[in-house]
Amino acid sequence: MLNNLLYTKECDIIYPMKTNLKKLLKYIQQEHKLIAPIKKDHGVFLSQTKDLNKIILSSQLTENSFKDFLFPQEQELFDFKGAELVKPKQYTAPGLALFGISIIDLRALSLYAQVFRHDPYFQARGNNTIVIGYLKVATPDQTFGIFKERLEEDTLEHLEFDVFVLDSNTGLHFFSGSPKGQKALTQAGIEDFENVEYVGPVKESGLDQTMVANYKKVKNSFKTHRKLWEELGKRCLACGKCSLVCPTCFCFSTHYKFGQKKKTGKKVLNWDTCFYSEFSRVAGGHKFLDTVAKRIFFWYEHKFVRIPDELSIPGCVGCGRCIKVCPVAIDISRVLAELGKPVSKLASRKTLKKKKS
Amino acid sequence: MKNPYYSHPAKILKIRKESPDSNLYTLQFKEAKIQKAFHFHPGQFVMAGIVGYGEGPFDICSSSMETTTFDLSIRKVGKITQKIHTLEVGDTISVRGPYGHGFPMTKLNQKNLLLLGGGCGFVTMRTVILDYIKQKPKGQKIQVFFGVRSEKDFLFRQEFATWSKHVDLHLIIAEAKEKKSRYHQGVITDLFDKVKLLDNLAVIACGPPIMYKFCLARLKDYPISDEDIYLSLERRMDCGTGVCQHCAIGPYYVCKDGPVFSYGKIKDIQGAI
Ligand SMILES: Cc1cc2nc3c(=O)[nH]c(=O)nc-3n(C[C@H](O)[C@H](O)[C@H](O)COP(=O)(O)OP(=O)(O)OC[C@H]3O[C@@H](n4cnc5c(N)ncnc54)[C@H](O)[C@@H]3O)c2cc1C
Ligand code: SF4
Ligand code: SF4
Ligand code: FES
Repeated sequence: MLNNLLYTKECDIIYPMKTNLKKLLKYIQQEHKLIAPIKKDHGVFLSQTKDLNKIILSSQLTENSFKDFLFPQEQELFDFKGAELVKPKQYTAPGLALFGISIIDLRALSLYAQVFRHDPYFQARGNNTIVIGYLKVATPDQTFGIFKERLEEDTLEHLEFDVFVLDSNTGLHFFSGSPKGQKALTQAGIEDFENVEYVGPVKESGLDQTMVANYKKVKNSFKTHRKLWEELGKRCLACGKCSLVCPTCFCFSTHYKFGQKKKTGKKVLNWDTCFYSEFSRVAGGHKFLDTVAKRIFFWYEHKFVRIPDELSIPGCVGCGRCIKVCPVAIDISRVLAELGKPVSKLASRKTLKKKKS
Repeated sequence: MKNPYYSHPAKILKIRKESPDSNLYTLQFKEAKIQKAFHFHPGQFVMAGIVGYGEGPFDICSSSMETTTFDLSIRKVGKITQKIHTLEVGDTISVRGPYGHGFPMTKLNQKNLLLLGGGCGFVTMRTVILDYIKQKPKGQKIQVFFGVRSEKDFLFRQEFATWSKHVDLHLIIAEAKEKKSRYHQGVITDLFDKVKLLDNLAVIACGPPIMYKFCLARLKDYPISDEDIYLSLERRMDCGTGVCQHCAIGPYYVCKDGPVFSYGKIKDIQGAI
């Protein structure tokens, strides 16, 4: 069904369909803070907007991801008084509408839904958020991300969203992925939409083959491709920028913050990054990840080994953001390519850098 | 939905000084309902701390059959543990857990056991010993090797006399000893030369990585499979539930899949031991 919607023939119904998208967003705005792709100084970012005309509809990924909103940098867990935590009576979250979430980021969002399935704060944020996926198809044979994924017949049924908007030259096509999405579409006056039933992140045809291949490449590579990791360790500045922008990075640590009154304050959860040397420090000062090589390997291990092992879904969705922000041009797709080669065929350190574009 | 970050207040009922830097705390959850629901297996741990300061992982070291209270042995080494050492009977420690898998006791009780404990790593062995004394599984025997630097570092010293009636206890200190001491002198691996090991043996080891290296080397001389050697690993922890990544080793989380692993399971993982 999906592929038929793309480029069947030139057509001229784009304008009224765009009106439909406005109708939908206007309706959703009544009860939600709208977060959408907006142009800023350094690129297009997901950020809050009231003005629908400012929204950028493009096939490009936003610089930041849903993570900034659904798993914010600092999250309040508890108030405390004296020696005891005060358990929240209920879990509240602002009503957000996240518009313009790409297929790649929806995949990362499905991962979060799995990882934080027991986290009532995340669940509350999720429940109060309406997620509107969006894909602009620029060419019929378009691929997404560094793993060159394509839109398949069953792509949408393995993604969690409320509404999905497919924007092709045959017009805008609406899909609902939840009762919440159905309601929003209907109430906004859009009758022509299709229901997609979420059947979980793993396809019936079996495990994602790119994931399986990358798992094999990374798993024992600290032994087999030691030199490569050491080269990367020498180059990486351990700045942690890649993990900040990565939509699948969710390492955290918890802290206490004191308030104004004596013996009161909050327990908060903050993003952490495994690139920082403190991450593995234990009493006495020993750090298990005591070299940058170990830390960068640990980062890959999380994405390509631990997550697939535990959840059978990829821990890297291939968005390429980490490549874009890395100050020393470490390119994850090139690293994976090198890990696929036998040790004797390893390229020199230069080839690990991203190609000049 | 349960809140995985919430720690329950527990009252300190008793504090026993164990060594210059370790105290044994007997605790009880303030809410009777929570205390009643608190069951653990030998080898499991809790995240314990002081609200406003922080928390860390600590092994539970009372008998797992004791349901009205539980014990933690806490060594003063840094910010949180120093603060805990300033607390008194009646004060509050916040606790969540239990976490991890602990030792596979049903499987282990089919065999004789050798417990190898070094320094403060010995904490979790107390649960195994106390449970054994209470249960006395038929036909099972336990040997215990406990090594420390000097006599004052022995944890649970007041219990040795009772333990000796039930288990084959061997204590060794690294520092030169006085003449008529009841302890062996040397490092823990020296006990392999002095004591004949039991047959049909499984091993539980808790101690610093260096102890594991030497003990594993010695254990090679005996017909004990890597699957029958269990090690408890120490890592930085935060969530305790396999999410935050601090404690990961290879494909596993020490908090969720451990802290106890069979040697067979982790021997090929870079940096595990
Ligand atoms: C499974 C497990 C069981 C343990 N059981 C015991 C026990 O029974 N008795 C005991 O005295 N100690 C035990 N430890 C070690 C104990 O957790 C640390 O000594 C303690 O957390 C140090 O906290 P601190 O603030 O005093 O030290 P600091 O060095 O000031 O620590 C600062 C931070 O690092 C964390 N941290 C420091 N060292 C460790 C460590 N070794 N492991 C994990 N996190 C650490 C702390 O939680 C704290 O958040 C255990 C560790 C693990 C992993
Ligand atoms: S490409 Fe990089 S930033 Fe994107 S999901 Fe993979 S690791 Fe994260
Ligand atoms: S952005 Fe680049 S330099 Fe910075 S931590 Fe990541 S890989 Fe290393
Ligand atoms: S302590 Fe968080 S993953 Fe183990």
